[in-house]
Amino acid sequence: MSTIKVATTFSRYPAGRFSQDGPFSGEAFRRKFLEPAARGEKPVIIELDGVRGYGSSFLEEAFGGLVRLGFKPAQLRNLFDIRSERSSLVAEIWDYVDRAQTADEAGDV
Amino acid sequence: MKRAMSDTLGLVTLVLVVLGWGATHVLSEARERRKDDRKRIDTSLELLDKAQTDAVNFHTSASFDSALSFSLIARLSKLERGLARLPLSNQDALNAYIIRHRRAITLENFDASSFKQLSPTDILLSDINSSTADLENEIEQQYVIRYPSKFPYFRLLK
Repeated sequence: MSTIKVATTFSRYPAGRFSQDGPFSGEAFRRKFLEPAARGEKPVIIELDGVRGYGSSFLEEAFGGLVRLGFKPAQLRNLFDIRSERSSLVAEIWDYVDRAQTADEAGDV
Repeated sequence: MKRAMSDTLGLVTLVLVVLGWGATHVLSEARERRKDDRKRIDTSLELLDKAQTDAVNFHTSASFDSALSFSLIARLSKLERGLARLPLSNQDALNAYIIRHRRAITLENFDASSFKQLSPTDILLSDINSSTADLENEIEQQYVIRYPSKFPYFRLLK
């Protein structure tokens, strides 16, 4: 099982929603790491610890954005093992995934 | 007969002394722990208060302040780590409040690409204030559960 450690493979200072907000935005993280991982079939550990902190807009764009691209929440849950000492981050991420799916079904996107 | 009674009385006295010492020790330990926990909670509440002030300043400033946005993210992270270390924390119950608080501050209007100056009456600011108050209230409630105001003034949690 491969591992994506945000702090070492992406940045210790992730911030911003879109690429125009900075080089370490949620969109950039999604494009560079999450989309390729989601297209694969092997489970991936995503290690969130070791960074200075996460803004909700970063998390929403990175993970909720996958659903807006067409990935299904169940598929993501099967592939991604998201880990953090801060359990609220993991809960918040899956909430964004589920909300993005609900918004998609309601035609809000 | 008299000697047996005297021995028994001595034994009972000894047991009572040991029990008394034990009770005093346990209650004294609990009191010290309560003081330490209260201090740590007060530190967390100060951080929470600063985060609220900074968040309101950030969202009502005339232009996007990237230094303040970085500082807010770091402060929220530090706050959550501090709360996780508190022995009174029922983390599952606290998580919903932590998420709502972080979301109120950092989900909307938090990035350069979407930022606009908010008026002091904007609903987002109301949400920041109410989520801060709710998180503070939850922390205090968990403290009261851990340290009730009646004897023995503490509760053993798993």
